[in-house]
Amino acid sequence: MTEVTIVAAIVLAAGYYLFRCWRKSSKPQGCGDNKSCGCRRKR
Amino acid sequence: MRLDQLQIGRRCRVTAINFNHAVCQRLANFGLLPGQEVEMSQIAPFGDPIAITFGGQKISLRRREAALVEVELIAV
Amino acid sequence: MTTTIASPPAQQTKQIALIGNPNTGKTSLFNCLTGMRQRVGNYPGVTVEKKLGTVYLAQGPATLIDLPGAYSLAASSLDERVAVDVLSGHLPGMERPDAVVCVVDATNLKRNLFLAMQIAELGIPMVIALNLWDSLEARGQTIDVDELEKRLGVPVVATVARKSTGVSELREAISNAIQQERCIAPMIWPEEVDEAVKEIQIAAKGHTTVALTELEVRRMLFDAGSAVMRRVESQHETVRNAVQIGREKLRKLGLNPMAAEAVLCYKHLEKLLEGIVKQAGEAKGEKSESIDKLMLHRIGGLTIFGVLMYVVFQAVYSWAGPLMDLIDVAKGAVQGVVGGWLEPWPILGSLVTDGIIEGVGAFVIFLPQILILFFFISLLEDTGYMARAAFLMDRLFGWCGLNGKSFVPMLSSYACAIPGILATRTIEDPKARMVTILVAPLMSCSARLPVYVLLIGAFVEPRYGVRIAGLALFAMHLLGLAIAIPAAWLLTKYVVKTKPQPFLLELPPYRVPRMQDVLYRMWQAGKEFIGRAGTIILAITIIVWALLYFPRPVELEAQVTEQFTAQQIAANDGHADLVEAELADPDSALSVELGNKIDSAYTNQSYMARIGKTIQPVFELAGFDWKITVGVVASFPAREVIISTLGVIYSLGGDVDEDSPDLKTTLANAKWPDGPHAGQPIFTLAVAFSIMVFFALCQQCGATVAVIAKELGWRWAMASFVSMTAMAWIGSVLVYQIGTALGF
Ligand SMILES: Nc1nc2c(ncn2[C@@H]2O[C@H](COP(=O)(O)OP(=O)(O)O)[C@@H](O)[C@H]2O)c(=O)[nH]1
Ligand SMILES: [Mg+2]
Repeated sequence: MTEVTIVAAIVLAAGYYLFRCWRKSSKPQGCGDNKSCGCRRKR
Repeated sequence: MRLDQLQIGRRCRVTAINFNHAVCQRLANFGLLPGQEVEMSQIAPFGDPIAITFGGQKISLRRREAALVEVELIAV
Repeated sequence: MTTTIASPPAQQTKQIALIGNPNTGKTSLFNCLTGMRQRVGNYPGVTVEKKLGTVYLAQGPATLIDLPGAYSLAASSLDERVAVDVLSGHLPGMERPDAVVCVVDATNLKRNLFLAMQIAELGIPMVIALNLWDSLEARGQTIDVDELEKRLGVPVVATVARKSTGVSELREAISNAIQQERCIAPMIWPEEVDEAVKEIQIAAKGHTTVALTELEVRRMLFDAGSAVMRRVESQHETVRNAVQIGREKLRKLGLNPMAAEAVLCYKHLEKLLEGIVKQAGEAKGEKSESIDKLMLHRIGGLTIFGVLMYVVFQAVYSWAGPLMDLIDVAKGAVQGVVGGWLEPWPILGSLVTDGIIEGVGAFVIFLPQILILFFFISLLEDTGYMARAAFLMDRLFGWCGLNGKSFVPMLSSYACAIPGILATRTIEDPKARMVTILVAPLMSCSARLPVYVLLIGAFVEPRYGVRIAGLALFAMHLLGLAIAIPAAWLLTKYVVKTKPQPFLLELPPYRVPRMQDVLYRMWQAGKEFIGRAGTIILAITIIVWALLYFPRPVELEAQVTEQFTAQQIAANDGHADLVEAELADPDSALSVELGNKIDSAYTNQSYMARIGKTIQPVFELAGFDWKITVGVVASFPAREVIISTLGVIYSLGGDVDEDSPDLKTTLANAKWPDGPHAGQPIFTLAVAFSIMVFFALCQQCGATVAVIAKELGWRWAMASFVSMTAMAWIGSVLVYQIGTALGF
């Protein structure tokens, strides 16, 4: 049972991360021109 | 003679520029003014654009724009 | 939430702006002064936005602003506008700087000081940095710095930004400049100009919120499309008339108003600079000129360009082998060890080994290619060849309405479309800029590289050898460009409708790239790549794994086992005992086959398979099976995801043969389980190219869509997305259908 819980938690965390990236990328802040941009945490 | 008619390696002096085109103001800011000596440095593979050297700098521009600059050849 | 108290006017931290002509080493000096590492490069247009940093002066810390280069205050492009707006205090949220450091190319004093004279009129204290002093010395020349300082009336410091020479003197000079507030003695204009300026000021009185300064009025007088003019013009006939009258006056003087400023200023500088530059040593022949004789040769130039590009991609393709093998071995080892630890927990074990390690590992393997690619990109940018490439290619772009200046952002897009799109700010015409932004994502960015390398490595190299494989990689990179040119033509002709653009580009002298800059660029790219592997790729991989692993009905295993056993017994003439004995041994061939059958049965009924099979008909014509379909669809947020997705699919799916050490071979061995092609390989050469073409043309990058939206608005971003996706689909269908018809 605990194993399923751990796996579920990991999957949910991944999903949440992607959701946050998607939210952030829909209102971009601009990127440094020495970086190819992507989903990144705020510097 | 016009600047675009120059052959590679020939030097000339600018006599007049048609300043009614906005590009020429930018050329003027680079220092391309009447009296300036210019050398034709390179012509791109398809005959356009061209690269000219003057005042220690090399600028590339199209023939269309170069045609707005009147020049006289300097005897070598 | 508490409201933040409005900060007191920013008086404590002084603001210092770095300005100068493009490519004079402003960013290099900025890095020296702040200890930061903004990107430098030997072509105009590397810096397109303002960048802030902190510099420590005698008075304490101050803000240093790095600005895009400008040739004059008559800003014609977006990036130049930024510089002008910051200096004149018109950029929202920015104070006017307290001092400017005018970075001057010591080898081209006159043109560089032209801008300095314009800035002088703003009345901001100034320091002049005579940068590139080493280049001046290399020419056997020297400048009388003290005399120049005396004549200009502001501190002049000789610097070599590359070697950090003169930086502490510059820092000191800035500290003093803020205190002493020394400005360049402005030009003395002919009476007629001053009169005209007064008249325009009077005419404009009351028509503008803030009275126009003399400087602003002069800009209106001299510039054809002045930004100042745009601020007031539309409303006021009187102002426009006054400007016309003023310009008449100049004509009577024998000066064309459009050239008046340059003519007068250059005359002024001529006198000011008399005897300043001295020939100290022997004048050496220009090295750049002889290199250009070869590189820009009418016939040789294009050949060299082609050969250079071919060598780059050949190197990217063939140099990486040993490193990739190393990463692969490491991946296998980690998988073994971690798999052992997680033995007791099958689900978690599968998530970690089949999901995370397999998926992320399949992606990370391409790190060497990325490093090699960026090595070459950085050489290209730092030597000064970038501007030459634009010169050579201008004609190819000319007929589609763009110019060589668009080629610089497009070349940058080979690294990543996002800096490429930002670099379009150097393009003067807004419409030409728009077209360039729309076609830039067609350039094959480095994220597409792994897809090409994987498929070419699996299907082209084994058949045709390394040489052709490298050529195929080169061809895939050319494809985007080949499509972009007609696309730009259509856009300029029918959608955005631009006039042909003039093309003025400075060709900077060649410079030897600094190894540390090149290595730093590679390091940055590598860090970015690994960063993505650890974030977005990891997250998507986990989701993909979950969708492929679940649901897990227990009865399915029993069902498959029963069916399989029955089949085997039938095949062995009813000797049930023999079959059962063999199945009891977990290492026997039969057991392995059964294991694969079970895995495959589970994957085939997973959520992902259901989704994939639903969508697959869309890609039927392109030759994709449900697994490729899933990979393609999962790659819409970021195209590299296909690699990790295929990795997970094939690792979970039980299709991995004993002799499939890596993803490449697994793909080559994959076969259709049923349907019209049952038993035939899924990946024919036609399918491989169909996938590559799809990736070459598709807008599979959330970040790029977001940047386009920021630059052009959401409507254009969506249009770009939809049209590129459509193009990708059509392209891949054509490739598959034609390729299959030809028997590939
Ligand atoms: N030889 C030499 N090269 C320099 C110097 N300063 C900068 N550079 C090079 O000039 C190019 C342009 O530099 P960058 O800082 O990007 O100029 P910016 O466009 O004004 O920001 C780069 O290739 C630098 O490495 C210098 O003092 N001497
Ligand atoms: Mg810069």
